[in-house]
Amino acid sequence: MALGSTMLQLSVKQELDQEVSEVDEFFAEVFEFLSLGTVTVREVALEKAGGISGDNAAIPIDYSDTGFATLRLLFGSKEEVFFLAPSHVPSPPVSGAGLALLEAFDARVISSGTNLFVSRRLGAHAYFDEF
Amino acid sequence: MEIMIKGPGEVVICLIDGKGKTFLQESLRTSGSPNVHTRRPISLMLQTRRGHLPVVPVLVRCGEKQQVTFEGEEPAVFTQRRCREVGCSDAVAEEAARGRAALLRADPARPPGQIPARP
Repeated sequence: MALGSTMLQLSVKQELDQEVSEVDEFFAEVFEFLSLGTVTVREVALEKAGGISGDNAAIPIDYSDTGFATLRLLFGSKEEVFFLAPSHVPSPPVSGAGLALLEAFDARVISSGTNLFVSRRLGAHAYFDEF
Repeated sequence: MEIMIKGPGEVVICLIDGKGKTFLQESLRTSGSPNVHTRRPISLMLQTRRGHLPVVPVLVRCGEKQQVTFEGEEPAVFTQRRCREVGCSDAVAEEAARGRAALLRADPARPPGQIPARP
């Protein structure tokens, strides 16, 4: 139960065999229960390295903006407040949340008949204080 | 299929076909308190150049303090059942249930972050 300062962090490295011709959208979430106190989110961030290229149509392998991350604060009443990455300044205080949920997404890619070389790495983190 | 992980640490999962070949390898590292949970939905069907390919998830590695479930079950139980569904041999199913799968190695000549040379 997360009173005090808390970090949620997720790092993913995904590699595929060259016979795979379609790379699914990536989604994962990391969560921690809260104590219904007052939460201030200090930072939410996501970074991606690696990438995807095909035999005939090279997509630059570089840092990419296709990754997407959110931190959601969920309440018992099914309401929620969410914060988008990147954010590096303290949020307004939010009271009464029961769950902090860090979600990371990345795009789906389909090859048009060529091999894909895939190695992608995503990292997302969120820092928040609960008092 | 849904993979649930309780606790911080690193989990390595491979998706193999009925012959035991690894088609996808994923390493998930989570940091946080001992009560942190991770949820990762993953498809058990891959699209390859030869068409749809049913695959089996294999839990290759996890941290000592982590608890991992596949669809709410022990990974070995789920893996063995899925092996029967996709028609794995007994030997492949046994190895997979024990968490043994060939890891995909990154080509040292093509590290992540570089565009591969064209043939």
